[in-house]
Amino acid sequence: MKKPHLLLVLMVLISGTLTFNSCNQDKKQESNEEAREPDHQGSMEEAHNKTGEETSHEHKHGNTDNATDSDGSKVWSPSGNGIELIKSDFHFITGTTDNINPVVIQGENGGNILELTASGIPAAFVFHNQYGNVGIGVSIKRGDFKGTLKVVHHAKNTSNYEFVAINGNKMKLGRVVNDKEKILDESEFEADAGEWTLLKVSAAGTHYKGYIGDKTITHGHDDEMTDGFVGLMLEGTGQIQVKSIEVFELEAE
Amino acid sequence: METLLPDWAPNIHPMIIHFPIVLWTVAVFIDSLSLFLTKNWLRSMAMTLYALGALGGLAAYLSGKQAIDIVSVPMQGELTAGSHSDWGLYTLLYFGLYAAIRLFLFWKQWDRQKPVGIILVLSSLVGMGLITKTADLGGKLVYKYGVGIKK
Repeated sequence: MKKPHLLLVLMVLISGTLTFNSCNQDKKQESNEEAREPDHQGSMEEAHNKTGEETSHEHKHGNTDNATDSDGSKVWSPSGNGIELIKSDFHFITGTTDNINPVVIQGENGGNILELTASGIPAAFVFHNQYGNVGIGVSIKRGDFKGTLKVVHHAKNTSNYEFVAINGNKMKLGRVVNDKEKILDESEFEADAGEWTLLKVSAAGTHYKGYIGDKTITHGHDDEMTDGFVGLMLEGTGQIQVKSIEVFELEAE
Repeated sequence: METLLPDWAPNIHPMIIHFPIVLWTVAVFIDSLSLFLTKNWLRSMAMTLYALGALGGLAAYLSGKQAIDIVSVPMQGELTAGSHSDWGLYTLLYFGLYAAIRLFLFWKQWDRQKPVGIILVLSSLVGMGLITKTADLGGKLVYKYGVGIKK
């Protein structure tokens, strides 16, 4: 082999070995970091499966458990008097408690459940804190509710907010800006209205998603909106039950 | 496509992503070498690798776009997933544009000129930076948040 060719082959071999080693070191460091990290996985699913009573034992914050978990999430679960609970933990951007008739009942397994009966007049109640990048998980049973249930975020008022809406087996992901609705994505999903369903929403930068459980149903992109409130909006009639609402403040890395 | 996947693979994305990384890295190396050893075959080789790297980048981006809606991403990883997707797009656009410009200069044989060659190598290093950032975020998704580790 000629000298320049031999030199070339040697250089390729050396650089290849160096790259391989450096990749391996990075992976080792990352897996060590992973070992130190608390277990984030399944946090929402745990909240979804836990009864309200069980979660209250963990946080004990009056009517609601609104403490921050180690993974940066806040799990809200109902307790006490329904109307007082809604008035203390939320505020309305449209409608009143009369439009949703909130009652806290005992679930089959002893946990608390917030039962809402929608009157047909739209009502939206949101937490008091405002969020930018956010993840939300709502454990719901739709029962005989007929209409649209929206998880709203980046909400300022009824003219400006983002949402993931479910109606029957259809999910829409979109936003309302100055009263104009814009749908970013829509799709159908399979979930029994009579069963507990974990409806998840994420707004991460310009990426917006709607999940049923772990399955991505809708995924859209648009500009980031300024911080706003997070909550639920009911447009319809009938009963709906809420076991827990988990809110993740997604931190920029 | 799904039937071609091994049982353990959650999607095709992790099998494709290494191609643009390796092709682009070797292309930059060969390109740098061609500044010192003015051999025509090195020039052709670098050009071919850049073009294949851009095609690999396209395949990686499209497979990633499909994968992100199949895998389960924990909430804490959503920002990383979004950034990974964004940087993947920037990388693809850069690769595509660079390969097209490179092909044009190669066709015109303007890339034989030393100053042009130096600018091209320096520009290819920007592509290396983009691919490193994208790969870093992808690694974080897998090794920190466990995305796509199980089918």
